[in-house]
Amino acid sequence: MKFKGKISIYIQYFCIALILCIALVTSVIRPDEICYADNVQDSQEILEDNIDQNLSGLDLESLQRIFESLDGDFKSLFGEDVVTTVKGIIQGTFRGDFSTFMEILLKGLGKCVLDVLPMILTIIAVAIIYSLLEGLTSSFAQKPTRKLIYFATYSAIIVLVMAQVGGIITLTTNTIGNIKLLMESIFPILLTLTTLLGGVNSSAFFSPLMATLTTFITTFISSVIIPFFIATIAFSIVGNMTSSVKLDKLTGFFKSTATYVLGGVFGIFIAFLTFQGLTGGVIDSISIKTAKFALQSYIPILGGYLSDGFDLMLASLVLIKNSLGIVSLLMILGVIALPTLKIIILSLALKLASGIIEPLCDSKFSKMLQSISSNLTLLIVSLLGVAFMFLLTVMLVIYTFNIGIA
Amino acid sequence: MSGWLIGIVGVVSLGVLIEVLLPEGENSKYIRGIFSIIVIFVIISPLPKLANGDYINGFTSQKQEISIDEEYYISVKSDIQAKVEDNLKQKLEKAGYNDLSFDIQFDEEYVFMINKIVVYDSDIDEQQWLKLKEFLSTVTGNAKVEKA
Repeated sequence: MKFKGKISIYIQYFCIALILCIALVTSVIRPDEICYADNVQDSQEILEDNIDQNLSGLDLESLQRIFESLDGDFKSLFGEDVVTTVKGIIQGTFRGDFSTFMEILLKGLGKCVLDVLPMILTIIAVAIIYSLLEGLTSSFAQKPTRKLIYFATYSAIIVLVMAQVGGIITLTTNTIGNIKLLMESIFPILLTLTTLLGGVNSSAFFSPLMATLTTFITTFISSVIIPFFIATIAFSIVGNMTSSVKLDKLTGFFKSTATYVLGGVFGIFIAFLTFQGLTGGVIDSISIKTAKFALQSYIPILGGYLSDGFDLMLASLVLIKNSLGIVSLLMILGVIALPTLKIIILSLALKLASGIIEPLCDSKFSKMLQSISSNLTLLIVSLLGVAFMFLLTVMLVIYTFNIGIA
Repeated sequence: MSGWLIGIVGVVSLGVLIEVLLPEGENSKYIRGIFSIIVIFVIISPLPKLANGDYINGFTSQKQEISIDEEYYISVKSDIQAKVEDNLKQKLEKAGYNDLSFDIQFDEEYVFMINKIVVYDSDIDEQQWLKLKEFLSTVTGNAKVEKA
């Protein structure tokens, strides 16, 4: 009994001690917690102030101009202007979501189909008239008359197709120009922010690559790929005009040359970009880590870490850099989505028309349409390729130099 | 290139016209043969020009630099460095070093990195100086500390 009593006394002591400990710990922790909450609130405000201040200093005018030139539907995907969108992304209130984007695309799809539908119908009508005329003429007309009917039909189809293809060529040239403008306005900003965040080596690597992407590759597309495309179109039209001159293989030559050169340029660029981007980032982070790092690791307390004005300043720069990158990615999507869709629809429409008129009349008609349609892939590839390289460059910039965030 | 394209299109169209207009007969196949040779000549006419390699220069010459926004860079840089300086001052005051005059030398490239701290305070004695030096180097992550 005595022993048991002793144990109960010990348990009582233990309980009292425990309660005291808990009280002590909570009393110690609570002010800290309050302090921490205050700190978080304060630092959030300071961070927002920093973001406002740093964002207002940036020259976003040209980006805003491109934003305003975007298609009306795409503008609804963003906020009111570039600055609002950037802030929306930082604060997590950005509305642009997948379903809105798909809606815009579907709307665009409907418009494109409506654009090419008259062309398909007219081609089919012309082909039907041709087959009727040929059926009639065989009984009474001479060979030259039939040939004349053939050329008249051929010219009619060419006029219909070229009206669309000509529009597509202008559209592609304009789109490449817009992409170039977008790159010219976003790259200097990203480069400045990267340099400020300690990406000195990286920006030395990125700068020539960005210059190559902005000038060399866009010029290359508008002065090599588009003329090659026009050549293939001209050859497919002329080559199918008569059976005495066939230019199929020459068309094939131009198409493969353009494809190989395009693939080579894109491939080499991407290889250099990923290699140099990654190594540059590693070199920078090593030099930052090994060198004296100002005031960062001093305070180990969680609340204290971000309350340093300096850390908040860097964090705001990181946030601005990343959300501007995301905005530019969304903008390039807005710039290329509809033109690409339009080219794809035209290519499919030509294939469809070629399929429909194949049983009706001469195989040369359907061959010509088929060949033009397959050459349109050159334009699709170049647009998507430039957009993809832009995406890779911006992604590399986003994923490196996130000091204080990751 | 456009001249060449127009040449090919023109020659082939001319051939088509001849084919339509020409009466059927013995000679037509010879005319067709001559016409094919003309088409080949037009097609291969630019090949000798390609051998010069001049077309490469057109691209390499038009390179454009992408440079950073210098004005913004300098303003944010001075902001960051002022904040680091303020921070250090606060920490020094907290540790009891009031009115200590010092100068921070930042890295040329990495804007927020401290290369050296120079303290302008001659009254300080050796022991205090060592203490201050240790404090400063811990706070700044092993930056070099010097007395002017």
